[in-house]
Amino acid sequence: MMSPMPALPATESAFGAIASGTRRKLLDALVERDMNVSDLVAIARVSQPAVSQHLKVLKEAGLVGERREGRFRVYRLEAKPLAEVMSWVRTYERFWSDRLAALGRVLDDMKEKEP
Amino acid sequence: MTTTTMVGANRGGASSIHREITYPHARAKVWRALTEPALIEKWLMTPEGFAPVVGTKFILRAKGPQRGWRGFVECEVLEVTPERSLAYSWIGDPAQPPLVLRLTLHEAGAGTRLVLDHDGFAGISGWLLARLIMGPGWGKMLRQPLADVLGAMD
Repeated sequence: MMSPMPALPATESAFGAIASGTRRKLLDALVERDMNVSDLVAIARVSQPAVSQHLKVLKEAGLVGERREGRFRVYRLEAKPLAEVMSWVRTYERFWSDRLAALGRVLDDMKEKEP
Repeated sequence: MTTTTMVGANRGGASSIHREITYPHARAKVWRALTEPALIEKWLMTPEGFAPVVGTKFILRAKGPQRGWRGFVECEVLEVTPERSLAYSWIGDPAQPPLVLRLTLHEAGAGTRLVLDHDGFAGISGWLLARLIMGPGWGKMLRQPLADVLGAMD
């Protein structure tokens, strides 16, 4: 039967966080491993205050989390918003697999039309 | 009996859903199934106001109660090339930017290859999808959290 097609997760609104190329760079870096600010400054090639500001935006968007390790704060990627987008896409993929199979059955049942 | 092949769940890097399927039927016949309301209803959803004319606004309504979804899609025909391609906008949720559904038909021996692209996952979604599909690191990172999310859905 028809697959449900839920709306894109509400996290979408927060995802304006991604408009910045620097923030995308930070996220890509955090995919590899958790990092502190110095690591991220070296990768993003912008000043530490700039990196901190970008991290703040990413934290508010729920894309990045932080923890303290001694004197440092360590940042990590939060995977849940991404996983939600992924599961939404998979819902659509299942939907189209089902519909295209149904189209095949309709075609098999159709009478050929005389030209 | 229909023999079908599905290839390429996702094109690498594209922020779209991509499907290809080959039907042992002529292009003209497949086109009818894509554009005649009585046939569309049999495989997709019930169309209300559809005509294969650019600019036509119509609705695709799902049958029966829908869980977690309003139950219909608002569409507008964007592109029509008879027996070749049909594209329409696709708004399943008014809070989201419209997606675009594009169906193109290609000769494949005696049959027809239907190529479906569902595009327009704009902004962050598109970016995330490209990363999810392209990057090995992202895939690895997602495996466990995704399992958690899916597990929590049941």
